[in-house]
Amino acid sequence: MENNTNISGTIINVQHFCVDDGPGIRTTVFLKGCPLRCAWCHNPESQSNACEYMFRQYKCTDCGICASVCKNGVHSFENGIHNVNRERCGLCGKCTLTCCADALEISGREITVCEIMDEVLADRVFYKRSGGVTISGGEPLFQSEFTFALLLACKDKGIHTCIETCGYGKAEDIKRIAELCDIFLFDYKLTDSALHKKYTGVNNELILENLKLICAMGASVILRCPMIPDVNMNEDHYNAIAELANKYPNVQEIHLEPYHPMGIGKAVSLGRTCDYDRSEFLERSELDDVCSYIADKVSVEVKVI
Amino acid sequence: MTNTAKLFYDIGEPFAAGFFEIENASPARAFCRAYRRLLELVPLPKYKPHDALYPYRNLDCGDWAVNPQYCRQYWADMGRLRSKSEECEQIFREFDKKHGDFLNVNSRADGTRYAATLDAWNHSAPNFKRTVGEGLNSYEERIRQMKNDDLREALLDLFVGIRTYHKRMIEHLEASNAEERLISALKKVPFEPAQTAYEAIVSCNFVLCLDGCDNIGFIDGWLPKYWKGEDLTKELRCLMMRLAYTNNWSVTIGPEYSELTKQYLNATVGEARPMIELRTTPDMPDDIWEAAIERVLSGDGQPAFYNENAIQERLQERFASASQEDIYQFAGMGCTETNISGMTFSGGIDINLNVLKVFDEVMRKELCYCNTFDELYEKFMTRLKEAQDDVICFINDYYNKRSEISFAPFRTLFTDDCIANEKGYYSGGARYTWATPSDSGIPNTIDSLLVVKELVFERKEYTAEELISAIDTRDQKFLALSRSCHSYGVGDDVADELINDLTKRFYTHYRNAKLDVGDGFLPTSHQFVRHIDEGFAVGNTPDGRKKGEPVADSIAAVNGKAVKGPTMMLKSAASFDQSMVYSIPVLNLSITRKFNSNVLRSLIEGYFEMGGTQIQITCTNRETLLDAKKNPDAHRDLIVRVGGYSHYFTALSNELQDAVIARTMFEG
Repeated sequence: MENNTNISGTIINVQHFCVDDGPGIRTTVFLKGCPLRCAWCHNPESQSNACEYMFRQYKCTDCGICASVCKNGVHSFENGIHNVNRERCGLCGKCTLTCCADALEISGREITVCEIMDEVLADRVFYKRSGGVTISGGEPLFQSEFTFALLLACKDKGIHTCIETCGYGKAEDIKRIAELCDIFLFDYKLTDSALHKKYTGVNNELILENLKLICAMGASVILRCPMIPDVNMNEDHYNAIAELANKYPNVQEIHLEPYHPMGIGKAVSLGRTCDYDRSEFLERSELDDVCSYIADKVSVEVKVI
Repeated sequence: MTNTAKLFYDIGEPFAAGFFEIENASPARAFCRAYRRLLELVPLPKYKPHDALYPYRNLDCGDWAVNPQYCRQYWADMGRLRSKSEECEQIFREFDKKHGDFLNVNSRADGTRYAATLDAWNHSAPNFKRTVGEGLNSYEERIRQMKNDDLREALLDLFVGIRTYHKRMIEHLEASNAEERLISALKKVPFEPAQTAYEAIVSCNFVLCLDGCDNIGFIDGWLPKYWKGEDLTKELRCLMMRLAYTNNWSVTIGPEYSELTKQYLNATVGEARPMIELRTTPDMPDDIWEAAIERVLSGDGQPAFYNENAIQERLQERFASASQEDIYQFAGMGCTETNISGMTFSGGIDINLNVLKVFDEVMRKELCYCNTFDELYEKFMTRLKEAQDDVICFINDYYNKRSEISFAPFRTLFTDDCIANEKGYYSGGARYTWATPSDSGIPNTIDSLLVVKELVFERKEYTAEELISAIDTRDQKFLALSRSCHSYGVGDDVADELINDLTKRFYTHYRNAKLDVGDGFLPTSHQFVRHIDEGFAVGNTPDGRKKGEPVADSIAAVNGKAVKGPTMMLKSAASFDQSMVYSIPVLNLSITRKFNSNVLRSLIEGYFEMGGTQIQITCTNRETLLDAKKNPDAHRDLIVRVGGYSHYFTALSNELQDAVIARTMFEG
């Protein structure tokens, strides 16, 4: 299969040495852009496909250097408050280079498959025992051409691949990607479709159809289930998770992901607000019972990550 | 007996008296006589009931003012000596000027303002393969055959002391109702060859305590011959604890693996010393990997992993005439200075060159006259070479001087081929004599060079004068801009190519230098604790380092700069040209999570496949996180786990940091 490695996509970053995104040591590519809008989103900077300006007010020391280098007048200081006028910002990034406090950042950059492969190949020596590339996000299906080209480039080098997906995408994209993906880390967020729409912006029928499709193609699946207090932490959902695992022998493991409030601060730094604003971590230990409950109903491993 | 010796005896200083007993004695005669007297009269440590071995510490003179010391041979508490006798103090000061002060040689040392000496540390291990396997009687026989009358008489004199000490020990053990097997073993070893593993360990312990310090060295070079599959953990722990008790160095295990390998690991659990060096081959069995990594995860940083194939290949290339059998006896001694066990005199960081300081001075003096970065870089490299020449000259001077005026009795006796060569250990008698220069701050220098390159010559953010002013005032904008430049430790090709060029040139210069007394310079890049002190000697630097802050630890990235995680840190470290750092480039890697053993194994294997030489891994604790909260700049690379993924600790808000700290105690 001929591959165009000059194709470019928008990513947040390439993270080296990830050990929770698939087996072994992974190089995880976080793509930017997602069709869902989960109320609790842990990575709100990954929702929009466009590059965005992030301002972490809590890091700012009011030094004013950003204002001095910005030609568009994005930054102003009034009564000791640093205001950022995002509409004026052309995302040149000059101010971010001069911020000593890590308060300013441009989230997102264009990158070609070829450039990503340079970073991936630098890690390749560490994959031997176990490991490879994970494409995450955001939603990899949201940039399906780019994802496909990246998977193809990895397979061309014999590298193990995982896709972390919410499952919301076109069947034809899923089909061709499944042929190149060793493991799907498949999100399963909510069982009730109406609630799914309420909390993520979309129903879950297409997602479940796509899971069925993936399984029919014989792909390996790890179910990744975010555990969000007051949203999906109920027996019906746990039962449904177990049912899916029992229905599809492709499901190899179930991962429970405890809620964390990292997304709130990030949303604020993007100039947005969060509908779901619980500020406490859900402790791993709080999921012990859930883990056992589901584990009793399935034959695959259930773990908290 | 001379009158001078009598003076020292009269004030209860028999070790010091020994130096003066023989009129017009050579250093060999004087030093051996002193050690003989020491052995005859030194108080014996009390036997501890149920101990598998005896003694458990070095020769210890209690309240004498003049004591033995394994590197300089003696150390004197002059104040104490004066309180006993002013005359004796004067005499000993004169003696010290003549025989001990070899670092204060008249050399270009004054010009080496970039370098610090480390007080003549040197490292070796007795040739246990031989002392255990042949017994000391055979040593006495070989000494009797020597043609050099002076050296023969000196060593025979020392032998009288050893026999007396041995006899006193047995009497003490019998009077203390010590374990029968210990007494009967000691009646045989170390003078006769050992026949069982226990006898071998007893024999080793005796010689180790005489030698005064240092290392067991390559224990797998001799102990497996006696091991019949029994559990030696208790005896090994006793032997290892002797090193722990005296706060001394290391022991080298592998590369042939067995249950004994695990017993070594178990014998040192919970102890920082001795440092275990595990010679690691690509086919090290899974169970040994598991045992070693379980130990690493216990949090004490043990063992360190050594790339067996790379080390063997490099030493063989460096010393083409050395036999493979010799090279196989490799051990890192002291912190990690390369030795061929039992056959080597090696310096212990003879001198440490502060590369960052050299760069800082060149930059401040020359930057405004340079039109291109290459011009600056070449001026710096020229000055660096001159600083190395100073180091080489200084080491040669003090090695020469030491060879004339000092003598190491036990090291001469137990290090091959001093007896056969009829030369003292300090005078080139060992089969291999290697000087060990070290260096500080190469990673900081690379980062600094890249900041200057980018901000002055490429992005033209500053003129030379403006840059230096921004560095000195620690201008906030400059600090932010400097962080945006290429840097070492993140797998960045630009930085990695530069460090490769610098290190290749730097270590080639040492490779080609001639050591008068010995075979050559075997540089090391390990800091011991020097990176703290060297930091005090350098002001603010372009890499964002503040005046007085430590420089980078050995070949690791500058603190807080390995922001792309361990795989990229390792890639960069492998770009550091390690092939000529024969006395080991050290990589300390801290991790904050207790990863599963396959992950750690992959890191180590991957690093070694890229040519990495040595790595030691520590799991970072909660205290580090607390410090990271207080001093974020020093911990920008610290990654913590938040929910299902990892995040940079310093990028979190205060509250989240607190939450992570509170949870971290329970992780892993």
